Amino acid sequence: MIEYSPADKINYKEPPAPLLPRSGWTSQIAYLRAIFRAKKALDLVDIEGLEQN
Amino acid sequence: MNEYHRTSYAVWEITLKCNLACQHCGSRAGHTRSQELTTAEALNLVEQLAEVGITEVTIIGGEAFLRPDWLEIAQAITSRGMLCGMTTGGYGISLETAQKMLNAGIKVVSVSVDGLEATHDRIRGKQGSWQWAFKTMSHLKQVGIPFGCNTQINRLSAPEFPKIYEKIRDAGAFAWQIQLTVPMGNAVDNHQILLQPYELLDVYPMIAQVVQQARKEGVDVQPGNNIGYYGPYERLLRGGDAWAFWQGCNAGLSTLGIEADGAIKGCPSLPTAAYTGGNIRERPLREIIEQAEELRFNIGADTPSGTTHLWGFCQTCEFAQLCRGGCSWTAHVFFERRGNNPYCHHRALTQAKRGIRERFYLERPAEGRPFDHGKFALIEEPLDEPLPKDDPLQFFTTSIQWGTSPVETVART
Repeated sequence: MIEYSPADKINYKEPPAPLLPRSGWTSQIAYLRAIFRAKKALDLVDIEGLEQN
Repeated sequence: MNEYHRTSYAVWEITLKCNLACQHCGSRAGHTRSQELTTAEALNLVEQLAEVGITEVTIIGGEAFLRPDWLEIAQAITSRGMLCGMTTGGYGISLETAQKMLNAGIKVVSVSVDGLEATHDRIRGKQGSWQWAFKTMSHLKQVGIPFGCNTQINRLSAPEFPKIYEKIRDAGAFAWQIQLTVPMGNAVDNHQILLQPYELLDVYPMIAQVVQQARKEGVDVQPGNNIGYYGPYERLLRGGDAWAFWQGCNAGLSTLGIEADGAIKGCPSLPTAAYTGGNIRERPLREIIEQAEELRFNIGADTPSGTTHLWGFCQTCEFAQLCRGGCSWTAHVFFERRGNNPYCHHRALTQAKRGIRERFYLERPAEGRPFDHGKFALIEEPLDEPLPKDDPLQFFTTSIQWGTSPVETVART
């Protein structure tokens, strides 16, 4: 069994967590709602386009 | 290259020195900046980029290869486990230089092509620059570095767009990044080359046809941040998937921009004065990303502050929360503040349905510094009102020079 001295514990440092990429959204649900709304609107644009053609 | 997905990305102007003099150059490149980073500072920055989570670094200029230690920097980026790319005007990359680039670990190169030969040389301010761009591509091909091209779309290049595609396809480009020229730096002084918002109505159907052809022929078209926005070709332009559409500016979220003197921005294109969060000579990169408001303005999209910057048309738009005014750079350099973007296909179509045409004019010129901008004003006028007569570069569908490949009807997905 390896024994650690108190000094080892003090010197040990976690590598800093990466900062990037980071999300612009605080809530994942709000993000999903926004992209579903946009997809629905784009689907309608496509349907309108098909009807015009 | 198709399996790679970019997650966090830094675009690093390693020098402002340039051997071209482009009419659209936002950074007004030409001479070295007065206090560019030393080699030791640049190598230290490479370490810091890796530590904050950057996975890909594209070195640019100016012209990156005019900095004497550019290959040392490229090698350090590669050694630190990040993908090193390069964007170049391609004026002067010999076969020997291409081999050195390969040895330094440069994995991918984007060569700028802004028109057919005469237009490209005119825009880039140097005779022979088009020939050199294609010579550079052949050198990259010979040594085995995959290359793509990038093209500015403006009133000079737009009529030649289909033929530009054929040239770069035939040269062996695997990818093509396209973006609209916007009024920053030299492009403010040459603002007559900029497309007017109403001209997007004719430009986008053409772009869509060429993109569809390119995809079919295996060239990966990558729309820049100021392309599209929820028009009928939006998903086609962004890859064809039902969920592929613009989802807001990524400055400071997954993207960083670095100027040659160590100034840090959330995106390389953003104006220096309003968007520099700090300088790595004064503060660690980690601290700038964590604390500087200039790199945090895209955080909180779903909070009340996420949309307070919107104004004009963008404030009233059904896509407001997700889009947040499109490309922050594009909006800011037109009107001195972000949040109202005149280069939007959805907007041009909506206004046309209302019988409105939008046109801008220069209200205040730029001062003449790198990454500066002027101020434009927007006119809303009836769609059927005669267009100004003193505007010889206007773009019409009839201006398009179609290529030799057959033109097909564009699907809307």
